[in-house]
Amino acid sequence: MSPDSRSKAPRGLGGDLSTSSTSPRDRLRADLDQISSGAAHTLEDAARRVGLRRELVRALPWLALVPLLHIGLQLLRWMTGGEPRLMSPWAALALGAVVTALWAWLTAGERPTAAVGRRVAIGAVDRQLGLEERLVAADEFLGRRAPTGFERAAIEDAADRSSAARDTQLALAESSLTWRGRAGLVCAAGLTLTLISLWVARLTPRAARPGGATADALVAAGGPLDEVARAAHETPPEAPLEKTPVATPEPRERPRAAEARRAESAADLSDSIKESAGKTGAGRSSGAQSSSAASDSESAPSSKGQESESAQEQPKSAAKTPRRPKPPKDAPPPPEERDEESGATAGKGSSKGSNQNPTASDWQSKDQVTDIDEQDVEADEEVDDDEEEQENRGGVQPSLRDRRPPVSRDLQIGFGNRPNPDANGRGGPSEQKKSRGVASLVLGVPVPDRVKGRPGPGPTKVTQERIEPEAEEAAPRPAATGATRARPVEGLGAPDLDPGLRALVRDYFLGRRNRPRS
Amino acid sequence: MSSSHPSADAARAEAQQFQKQFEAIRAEVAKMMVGQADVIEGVLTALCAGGHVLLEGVPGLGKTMLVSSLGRAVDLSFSRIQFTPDMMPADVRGTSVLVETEGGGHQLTFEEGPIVANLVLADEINRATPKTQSALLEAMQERQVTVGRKTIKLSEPFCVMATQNPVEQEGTYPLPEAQLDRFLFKLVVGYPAEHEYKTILNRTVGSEEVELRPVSNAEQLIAMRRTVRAVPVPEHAESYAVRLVMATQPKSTYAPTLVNRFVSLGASPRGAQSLLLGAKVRALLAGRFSVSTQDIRAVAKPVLRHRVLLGFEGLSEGVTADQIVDEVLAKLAVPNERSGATGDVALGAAH
Repeated sequence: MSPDSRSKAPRGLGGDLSTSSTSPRDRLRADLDQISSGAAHTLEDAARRVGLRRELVRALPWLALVPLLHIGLQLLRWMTGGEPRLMSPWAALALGAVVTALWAWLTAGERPTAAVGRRVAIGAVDRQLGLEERLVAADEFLGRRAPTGFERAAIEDAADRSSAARDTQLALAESSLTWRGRAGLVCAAGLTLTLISLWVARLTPRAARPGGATADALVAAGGPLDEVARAAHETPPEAPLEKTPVATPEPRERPRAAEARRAESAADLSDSIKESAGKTGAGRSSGAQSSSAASDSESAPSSKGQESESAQEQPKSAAKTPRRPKPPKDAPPPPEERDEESGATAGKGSSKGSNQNPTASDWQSKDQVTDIDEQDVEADEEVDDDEEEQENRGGVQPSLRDRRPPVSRDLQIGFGNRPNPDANGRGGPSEQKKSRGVASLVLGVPVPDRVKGRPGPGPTKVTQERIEPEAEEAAPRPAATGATRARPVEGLGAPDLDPGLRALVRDYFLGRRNRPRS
Repeated sequence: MSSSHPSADAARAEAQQFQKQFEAIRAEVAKMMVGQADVIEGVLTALCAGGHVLLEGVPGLGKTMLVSSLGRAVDLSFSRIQFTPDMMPADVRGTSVLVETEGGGHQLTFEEGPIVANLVLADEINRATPKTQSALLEAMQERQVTVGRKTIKLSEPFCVMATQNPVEQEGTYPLPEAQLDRFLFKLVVGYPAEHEYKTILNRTVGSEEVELRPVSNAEQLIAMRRTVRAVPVPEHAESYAVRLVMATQPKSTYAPTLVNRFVSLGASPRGAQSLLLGAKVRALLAGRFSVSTQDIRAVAKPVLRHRVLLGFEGLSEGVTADQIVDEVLAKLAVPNERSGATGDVALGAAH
């Protein structure tokens, strides 16, 4: 209801809301009490129902567990030679249902139901009737000692609607728990177990089996049928015998797989050694190369040792797999294996590095760096030249290798606008200390002006005057004189990045952000 | 009035007058502005609540025309500032100028800037530098302008209605957070519907001119603001507004996951004030005498969208402030709604 309509139908509450004996305020309070109690009752009932249903869902497994337990007991009894029929399987199923219900009821009863507050109850009715919290607000304003005009208006507004709210039954849409599928599954399981229980109940007791009893008796007696009885009791030996032909092709494949694995590892090893050889050989001098050329053969002792170890290990592995075909000792290795081993384990690459030590090592590679050697040679030559010069001058002089050009005392201003490249800030042609150095004390020495460019024009005077704006007449420019657009306007969309590039940029910045700052 | 002897009839009369005035202004503005009903209502709501409005939209959607139409419909002193990159704070606030006196001497006289008006249109506010934008800070919050030693009290009602192009556009400067927080609402002006285009074209391209007449004035507007302030806020609505604001603050008690992950700065207490002021106007327009949580939810987006500052990850994920506010509204429980043990019980359809 709008304020307009409210003003057309004054309720006579005005300022005497708190003084009138039969005031609508009291009536509203009574209505709200009734509404809140009824709604709270409904909400608590609904909460109880929901709680019971939830516990029922939790207790559903009992419906299948009881028949399962029944089957277990039946089997146990049958194993011990008793009668497997304990009770009717249908009775077990019914017992499961009873246990389920009982469990749910007990656990739901144990859980305390939270009391529904007055505001919550009134708010529920408010929402159901679409009153936009008029009742809740009025209930709050009723408790205020000196309500304002708007609060009184709100109370009256709510009083108009409270009678309708009082007669309204709170309708709750209880959300359906997802229990139907679970209940269906559990019921199906219970039924299946009941059927299994029925089948188990029809089993003959073990003690009543004729063949088994006769054989046991014969075994106990140890008579002529002893062997036959044992044969009947023991498992037939055909099973292991049947497996033997199946296992025969395996040894043929195993050596091949092992060879392949060895070849792969050898290839990996050869690659790594080749790499190391490349590194060590990078700085070889030609002399080292030529001298190490002779040692390119497979005569590296360490590699040979490895080879012989692998050769010794082969018979061991062959002994572990007896059906593996043993290769003849004199037979040459396969060509591809030979090729791979020639670079990998024979130590070719390592022996290329130096003529002093055939094994590859970092030390060797460092020794073999050509440019360092050459630098050392050049340095030695320079030292020799210096010594020769000093001897020519008539004696040994201090080493002049660290000598620097003397400080320039040239006092020229500079090279135009560029700073003097010989500036060293030590009293020389330094721009920083020139004015403070000795040169500034000497009369007649020109001190450079630091301000480059034209001097300022001097102070300017700015005067502001009030001038009324005047309209200026301008000749209108005909639109036809403007040139037409040569081509259509292109798309003006935001330059979004591609998703991949965007993710890359995002990952980069996130990574930078997550990196701990040093 | 409900000041000395509060009565329900007086309150009802005030509310009725408020509705009448509001509808009159809205109808007058709607003569010029086609469609955009939400934006018009938002602008009027902010005007009645005593707040400032930031209108954002691409060029050509009628943002400036809306505010100038409002200035004509409400008989207020109207001033327009066209923000440009070379603008200085003195161009907004005013400055002291040397004026020649009659005796031939000179005298420093303060020349008021365009900010001294009732309704100020700050057009394309984000085209000026933040330095110039900041010239509005004092005026917007304290309703006064200080230049040197001179302080000028701005006359009520004072309202700044700023328009801005989306920040992504060329030649724009984003508004500082301190200034954004001073706007009650940020309204996003969208494209009109198809049927609205025809009306727009008929009104603008043809020879027919729309005449707007003032339907309200400053006194009436001040009375409307007083009415808005008088609307009571129940405790549950107040706490909901507070929780809503807190939910936008990362790592707060009510902040949902999206806020914790993507938001770097949430709304301030000024946001809660704005929520309640906007909700009061909405309650009056809905014919109620108190604020409900629905009113707060209705104004949450225009109030909070410019107060939520997204972090780096949020920007890189393309999350918007509106999505954050939607998430907060969806996750925050409304008071007086049952939860916990009876959380599975929901109200059915209203009878």
